[in-house]
This record gives sequence, structure tokens and C-alpha cells, in this order.
Amino acid sequence: MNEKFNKSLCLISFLLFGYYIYIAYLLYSGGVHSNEALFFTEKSALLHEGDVDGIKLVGLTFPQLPFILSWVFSFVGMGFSPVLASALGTSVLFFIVTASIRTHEYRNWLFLGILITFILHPAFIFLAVSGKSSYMVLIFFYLFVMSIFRYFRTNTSYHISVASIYFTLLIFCSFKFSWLMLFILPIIFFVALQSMIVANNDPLDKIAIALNTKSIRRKLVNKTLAVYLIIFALPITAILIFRMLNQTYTGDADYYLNSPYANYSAITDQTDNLNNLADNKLERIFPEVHFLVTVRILLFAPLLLFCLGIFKSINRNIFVVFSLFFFMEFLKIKYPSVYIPIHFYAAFICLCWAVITNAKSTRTLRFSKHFYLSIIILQLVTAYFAMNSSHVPEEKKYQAALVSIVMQKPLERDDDEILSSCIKKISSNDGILADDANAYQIIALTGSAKIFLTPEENSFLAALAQPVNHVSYLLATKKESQYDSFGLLNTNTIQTLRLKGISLHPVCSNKNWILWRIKNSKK
Amino acid sequence: MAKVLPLPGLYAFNMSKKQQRYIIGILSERGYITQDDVVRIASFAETSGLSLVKILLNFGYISRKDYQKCLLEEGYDFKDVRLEETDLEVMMQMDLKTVDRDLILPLRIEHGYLVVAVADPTATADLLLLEEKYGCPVKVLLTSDLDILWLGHKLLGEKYVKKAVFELLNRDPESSTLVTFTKTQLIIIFSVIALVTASLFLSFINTTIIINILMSSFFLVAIAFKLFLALTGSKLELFQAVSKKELKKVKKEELPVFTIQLPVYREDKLIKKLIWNLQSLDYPREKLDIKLLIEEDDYKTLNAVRDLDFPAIFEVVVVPFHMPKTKPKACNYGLYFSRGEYLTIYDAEDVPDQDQLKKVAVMFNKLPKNYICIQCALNYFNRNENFLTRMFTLEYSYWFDYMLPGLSTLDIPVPLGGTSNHFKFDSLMELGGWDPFNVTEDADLGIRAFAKGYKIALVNSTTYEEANNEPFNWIRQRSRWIKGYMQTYLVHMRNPSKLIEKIGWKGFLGFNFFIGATPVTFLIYPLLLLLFICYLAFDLDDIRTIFPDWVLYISIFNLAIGNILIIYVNMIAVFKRRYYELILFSILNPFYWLMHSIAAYKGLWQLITKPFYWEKTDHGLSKVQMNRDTKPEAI
Repeated sequence: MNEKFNKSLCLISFLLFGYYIYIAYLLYSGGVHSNEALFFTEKSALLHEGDVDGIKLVGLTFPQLPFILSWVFSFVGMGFSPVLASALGTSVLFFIVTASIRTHEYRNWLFLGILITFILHPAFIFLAVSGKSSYMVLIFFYLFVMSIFRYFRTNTSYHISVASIYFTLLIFCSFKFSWLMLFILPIIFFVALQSMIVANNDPLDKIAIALNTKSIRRKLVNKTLAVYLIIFALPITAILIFRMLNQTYTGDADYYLNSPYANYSAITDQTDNLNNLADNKLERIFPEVHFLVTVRILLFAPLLLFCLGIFKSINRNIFVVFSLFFFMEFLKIKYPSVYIPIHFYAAFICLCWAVITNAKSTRTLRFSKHFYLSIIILQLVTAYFAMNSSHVPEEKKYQAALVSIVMQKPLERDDDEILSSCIKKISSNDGILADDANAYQIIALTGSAKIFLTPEENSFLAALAQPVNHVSYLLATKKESQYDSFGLLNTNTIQTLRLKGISLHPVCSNKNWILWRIKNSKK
Repeated sequence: MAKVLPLPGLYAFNMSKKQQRYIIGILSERGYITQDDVVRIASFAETSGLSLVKILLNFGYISRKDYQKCLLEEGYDFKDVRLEETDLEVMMQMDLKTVDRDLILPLRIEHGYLVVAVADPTATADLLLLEEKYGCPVKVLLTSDLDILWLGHKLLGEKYVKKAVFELLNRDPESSTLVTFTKTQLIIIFSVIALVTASLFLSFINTTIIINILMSSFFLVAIAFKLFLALTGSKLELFQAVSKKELKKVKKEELPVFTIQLPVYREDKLIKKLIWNLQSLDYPREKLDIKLLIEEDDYKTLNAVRDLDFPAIFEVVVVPFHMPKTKPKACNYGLYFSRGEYLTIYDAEDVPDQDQLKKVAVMFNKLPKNYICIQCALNYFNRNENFLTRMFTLEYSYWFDYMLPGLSTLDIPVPLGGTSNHFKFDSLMELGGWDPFNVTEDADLGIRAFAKGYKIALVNSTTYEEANNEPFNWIRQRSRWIKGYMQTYLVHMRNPSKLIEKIGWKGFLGFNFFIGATPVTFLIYPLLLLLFICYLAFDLDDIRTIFPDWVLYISIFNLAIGNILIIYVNMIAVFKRRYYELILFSILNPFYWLMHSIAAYKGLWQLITKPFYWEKTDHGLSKVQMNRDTKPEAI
């Protein structure tokens, strides 16, 4: 029976992958791209074709794991590789989620709900077709939560160590999840306390007995510390080592977070997402501000209410759900000017399935089939509104593009394609001086890094000082561009070069960029 | 029936009189054993074929001191048979197995009488048979059963001890470690040394870089492999190989005879402890065949057995002197006197889980026929004694709870642990027993069994041992283990293509990265560490020249991630055992590994200079006693 189920699951996952690839291809060919996918594409291109320090590029580009996977797929097709990875990854996520309900008593209708979500939920479609790293965040998040729940149930070292490994991988997909550690601390203490063999079962009495009896107190402290170590030793040391590597290679331990050459969000969070703040603030019914994030989560994932009902008798599991609410509120406090991306919300839907799978008693689920499926449908609607009113422009862009596909309307092409198509016409012998800190989109859309001379290459600084000797073109930001202050090649650079007597002529331009031709170039 | 002769201590056996009293009757009359015991002993003697005295003295009915006291009260006199004159020609007419079973040993023919040493002066039937066999009347000399065994094995055991040493060599010379390095291996080793030396002269930097790359890649694969093994092995925690429910269903009468071999050497201090541990085994006493294997020159242990104030529950087998003087030779010798369907080995200080033998019996019934061995986990009862015992516990928890289950799950040859491996007796004999020239004979046997298509399983039961708490003693023990791994690696790698044919590519790679890599890792570790420390401490830029960027990246990965992962796996392993207090100690593993390195170099030196030398580990140094009540919960 299980084997048959597995086979069907593989087949459905494969079909789902095909479905995602189809949508992704429509968007890709229609000129709809995400910044993160373009960032990965550009880095892969540099790695394949540029004269760069490969170790630094592979080792320090962040988020690391999605980038490496995307790079692996770049052998199939450079530009499409991040999308291929995300489509495949989301199908794998579907497989993992459905595989975990394989032995569930009500797997048929649970499966139906999952399938509907993966096919129609705008957030999941966005994650699958955008080429962003979110699919991997969700995979490791789901696996982590599942392992934690299983550890609570079985108390085995296998599950807790696997949870720790997943947590480490999760952090290397999205660093913000490292803060989740803070919110897991009290849960572990609570679980350790629950596992103590004390005559009284009442939680408060247990605490009192455990804290007042020397032997139990010692055991409790030992166990709690042991679990902390097992769960957190690996991620913390991995972060420390990664920071040490960053320090060794670049002289900045936070290079992977702050440098625009290693992390696309270093600029995006200060441009696209930040600029959007003022425009959108008043338009939202539920603005993303402190203490209302929880409400937004509940609106986005009403399935949570259903799950809390199932879990009512298992306090520690409820604590996990609440700790994630606190975590989200904390993110809003910690990063007040950055909007929470959609995958953080989508994680709660995955959490719901983890909750259902690990529910001790399935009796309450018996009458819930219609309720569950209704919520799944409702969730599609709320997700549509959430995406549509998202504070992150990219999410809105994809939502609009998806609607356009459904309505068979033409897609709005990426503005940077104007520049990339212009560059494609230039002979590969002529070099273009470009700073990929902010110009990665254009390099990626060009499809090749051969023609570009970027800061990762040794001769960049020499070329910046004396471009005439090295390149024929120069790609710089416009003064009014939001990226103008984030790169080495901007309006000021052009002024300086002109003052040096270098003759520059614009070749083509768009909203943010101008491609300059260097006259009398020796190149 | 017997009357005192003019020669003191000798009793003429009178066959004309019908025997009226047996030894059990005498003992019962004098209150040394109960009437119930008499019935049980008689019944057991009938079913097992063992002599009454053997059962009395070796199955916990009476202590040797009481036995002697009783016979002295009856007017018998005991003699030291070891001081008696012997005639080998006369003795050789008796088979050692009969002597061992009946405790009757003909010594010589004197004045037309056959002088026979006996432990039971009332064993009429056996003496009648002797009279018939030798064709002359018998004079008996009452002596201790231990003296009979000592003399019997010493003088008549040559045939068996030769078999114990040379059986494997004769049957399968390719698998014997008698030759440490074959000619081909020596040619390869010296060619590599010559090539490296020449290359270093010709291009020092490039050669060093290549060596670096090879070492780093080797470490990388070894670390990844070990992590994978550990994760695979840890999954077994989710399943109980034998459940309590299954154990409850076991019927005593259906249990097979289980042989337990206890090879000891100068373990006189542990004998009492050993008996306590064996007595707590939950297995019918009559179905246990416990053999204490004592070396011929080990008078200390023999006297410790003799001086016991309480009944022993094991038989003594004296191993005659023959080189090499190793544990596997003793165990092989013991095989010829074993009666069990299954056989296991414990060390003198071992404390197995009470239900271990039952679990093994149940497990064997559940497994397919090609499973010939079940390995139990080993761990330590004195784990909190000092730094060394803590580290040792961490290591053993990781090894037996994660690594070996991982190997078994992945169908890779399992190097068996030193004790608590339970064999099917017939299969063990078919394999030729242990290699007496190999100082980690169990690891070698595991590989040999796998090569013959047999499998090894692991069961959820633990034997608690005494962790070595003294650094020099630890290094001695570890140097033997590492030397044994080197021996095992060399012997099985004599013909790599043949090995691949036998164990497949997966097994071959597993064997190389587990058995082969272990000593190599410990040999290389201090060199790399020294290089790293020099680089850090003296800022030697020249070192950078031999570490190109990508090699440096792998090296840093190995150093940082590799160390952490292995430390982490150690943490998880003790977490599984609920030894929470030991978790932080796993951070000190890099220092502990340095001790491994010292032992590895010692082992390498001994491999070349004295390959079969058995570095004896002293036991009984711990001041901690195993308390079954405080033992960690079963896992």
C-alpha cells in the first residue's frame, strides 16, 4: 500500500514540477525575473566565465545552499537555473510534506488539501517560479519542525540531532532564522521538565518539585543543557566558523550579510523594499507593524486555528507554534524597516501540516474533513489578498504577472532587459566595466559574464582608474537611480572620469542605468 | 569401596564391591547440598554427560573448599598431582576431552597398578572403564580438579593447542596474519617511500602540495563517511531489535546451551567480581557452559579460583603454553571444549545486561540463517572516574551505538568489538575460529565472516566494562588495537581485487575508510596539527606555499567542520545514553585524539618489530563498582 502511495506521490510531484516549470517558463520568457534569481545567475556566470576567486565566490555568497544548488543547475541553463532549482525544490517540499502523512489515518483528504495548496496557493506558486531561495527555507523549516515534534514524542537522539542539522541548514538558507534559537530555549526547558519522572503530573507542581529537589534539579539542569548543546552547538559553531572564514577572506566577519557582492538583500533591503515603505503604509488594511504581525499570520494561514484545536492537549507542541509567533514579532522589532517576505508566512502553513501529522489524537480530525478543506480554500483567497497587498514589490509583481497569465494579458517586461539586449549586441572583445554590487541584474540578463569586468576580478581597480586601457564600455547608474549610492560606478565616477579627460558617450539607458562608450579606448 | 594403602594418599580401587555411595550422597548427608540439589545434579549429569564432580564444582553447588573439607571429613587425603611422576605414554592413551569431562587422569603404571588422579574418589564407573582400558588395577590419587585440569591440559593439550594456533593458517593461509607484510606489499611500500623521497628532492613544493591534497581529500572523505555512518546508525535507536514482550515469551526449556568464554591472564583480583556478574545473568544455569580460559603459567588466577570461598559457576580450561601468547589462541583452544550452540566472549571485568543472552537467543531465531554473529554494545561503568574514562565512554558510545549499527545497516563489514559478540558455534568453527596472530582478532573475524557471505547484527543490549583509567595502561591497550587494525588491513588487502570480489565495492570502500583509515588518521593527525600550530604561532608564510587556496579551503574545512562534526556525533552518542554530564567533555576530543596518535605510533613500531606481541591491559584498576540499580535505563 505504502509503495503504491510512494509511487503515486513521485508521479504527482513530477507533474507538479512540470506545472511549475511551465508557469516559470512563461514568466521567464515574458521578462519577469526576481532579484535573487538574477543574483544567483550572475554569480554562476562569474564562476563559469569570469577570472574570479572561485573559493570566495562559492564559499561566501549567501544564502549559500540555494546558491550552490542553483550553480549546480547552471550547467543546464545559466539564466533559468535558479528557477529550475526553485521549481524542483518546491516539488520536493510537496513530496516531503505528503510523504510525512503517508501513514496518517485521514491521509486522503489531508493530501487533497496539500495538493490544492501547492497547485493554487499564490505564495507557493511564487516560491516555485521565482527562482528565490525560499523553497529551501521551507524545506528545512518543515523538516526541522517535524524532527522537533518527533523528538518531543520519542525522546531519541536521532531526531534531535537531525533537527539540529536541519536547523543549521535552515540558517544557511535564511540567516534570520538564527534568532529562532532564542524562542526555542524555553520550550526545551519545558520539555526537559515534562520528561522528568516526578510523582505529580501537574506542570506547576512539577516545576516546584523539580526546582526544590536537589537530585531532580541537577538532572533537569543537566538534561536541559544537554539538549541546548545538541540542538544549538552545530548551528552556532557553523555560524562562528563561517564568520571566521569571512573574516579570513575579506577582513569582515559580516561580509556574507552586509556585502552586496555576497548577499543581494544588502542593497535590496535598502532600495526596493525600503522605498516601498512610505508608499504603501496607509494602503494596507493590516499594516505590517509590531503586534499585528500575528494577526497577519492568522489571516494568511487560518489553518493554524484548526491545528491549535487539534493540539490542545499537547502543551509543548502549542508552545512551538507560539514561539514562532514571537519569533515573527521579534523579526519586525529587530528589522523594523524591512518587510517580512512571504516565505516566513508560508512557513506557518507548513507548520500546520507538521502539527497535523504529529497530533497525538486524530479523533478530533474525524469530523473535520469539510472544515479542513474549507479552510484550505479560504487560505487561497486570503493569500491572494495578502500577496496583492504585499509590502515587497517583487511579490506584487509576480502576483500581477500570474494574474496576467491567467487573464491572458501581456506581461510587463523587466526594465533592465533594455540594457541587456543592447549589451548583447556588443562584440565580446570589447569589455564593459560594471559593478555587480548593483548591476547584477543586467549582467544576469545578458546571459554571460565574459564581456564584463567586475570588482571580483583582479584588474578591476586598474580599469576603474584607467578604463581606456582595459575596457570599451562602462555601465553606471543614473543620478536618479535608487542604486546610485550603492556601487562604485555611479554619476560621481562618470564625473571624475570626465575630469580626467576621458571621453564618454551614452549608448543606451533605462530608468536606472546608462551604458557609456569610452572613446579612444585602447581596448 | 576404597581402602587406604600403605602409600600415603593413594587409594586402591576395589571393583569387586558394588558402589554404595556417590559423591552427591556424601555431600548431601553432610549437609553441603540439599536433596533437591541431588536430584537436579543427577538429572543434569544424565542429560549433559558431564561427571558429577564437574557439575558440583562448576555449576554453583559447592565451593572447592567445602568439597575438600567434606572429603577430608570422610577420611580422604588430597595430594598435589602436579608433583607426581607422570608417564606420557600412559597418559596419551586418554583423550583430553574425556579427562576434562570426567576429571580423571591416568598418570603412570606403578607396580602393576595404574595410578590415576581423580577429583571424585567415588566415580566407580569411570574407574572401571579405565581398568578395562589399561588392563590393570587402578590406584587412585585424590587431588583437586584444578590440578587435574592443569596437568591434563599441559601434557595432553598439545594436539588442541597446535590446532588453535595453526588451524586457520593450514586451512586458509591467505587469511592468517602470521606473515605481516607480503613481498608485494613490501615492494609497494618501499616503492612509494622511494618515489616520495625522490620527488621531494626534485620538486619539494609540488610534492608537498600533492601530499597535502591527498591527505586533505582523504580526511574529507573519511569525515563525511563517518558522519554518514553515524546518522545511519543513529536511526536504529528508533527500533528495538528485541522487545520486552518478545523476551517474556521465551520458554526456558527451549533455550539453547550457551558457551561463555572468559579468557583471563593474571586477573586474580577480578575472579570474585566475575562470579557475581555471571550469577546475575538471566539464563538457566544448566544451559550455561562457562569456560574460564587460564594460561598454563598463570598461577595467580588458578590459585584465586582455588581459594574461592563460594561456589564457582564456571569450568576452568588451562591453555597450554604455545606461542603466540594471545587471547585468540586461548579462545580457539577453548572452542574444543565447548558444548554450546551459541558462544560468546566476555572479559573478566565485564558486566553484561542481565537479559543479554536471552535477547541474543531470540534475535538469532528472528534473523535469517546467514546471520552468524550478534554484537552487543559495550560501554563503561566507571565513566565518571577521571578524564580518561570520560573520554573513553564518549568514544565507546559513539562507536557501538552509532558506527557499528551504521556499518551493519549499510551492509559494510563490521569489525567486531573485543567482547560480547555472540556466535553460532558451528559457523565459528567453519570460519576457523580467530586468527591467533592477529591482536584484534574480533575485527578480523568480522571481515572474514562478511567475506564468506555471513552477516552480523546488533542487538539492543549493553555490556559494561571497566574503562581504562590510567594513561600508560590506556596507551598500551590502544596501541594493540591500532596495531591489530593495521594487521587486519594488511591481511585483507593482500589481494584487493579478490577482496572486492568477495565483499563488493561498497564493502571494500567501507573497509578502507573504516579499518584502513582509522590508524592512518591517527598517524597523520599530529603532523597536520603541528603544521597548523606552527602556522598560527610563528606566522610561517612558507607554509602557505604548500597550501594552494583550494587545498587551504579543504584543510580549514577539515580542521573546523571535521573536528566539530566528530565532536558533535560524540555528543549525540552520550546523549542517547543519557550521560548528560559527559556532553561537554566531547569538546576535549582533540586532546584525546593526540593520545590515540601516540598509541598509533607505538602500534606501528610494534607492527614492524613484534607484530604478535599482546600488550596486556591491566584490569581491576578502577575503584568504581558497577551497581546494577544505578545503571542507565535500557536503550
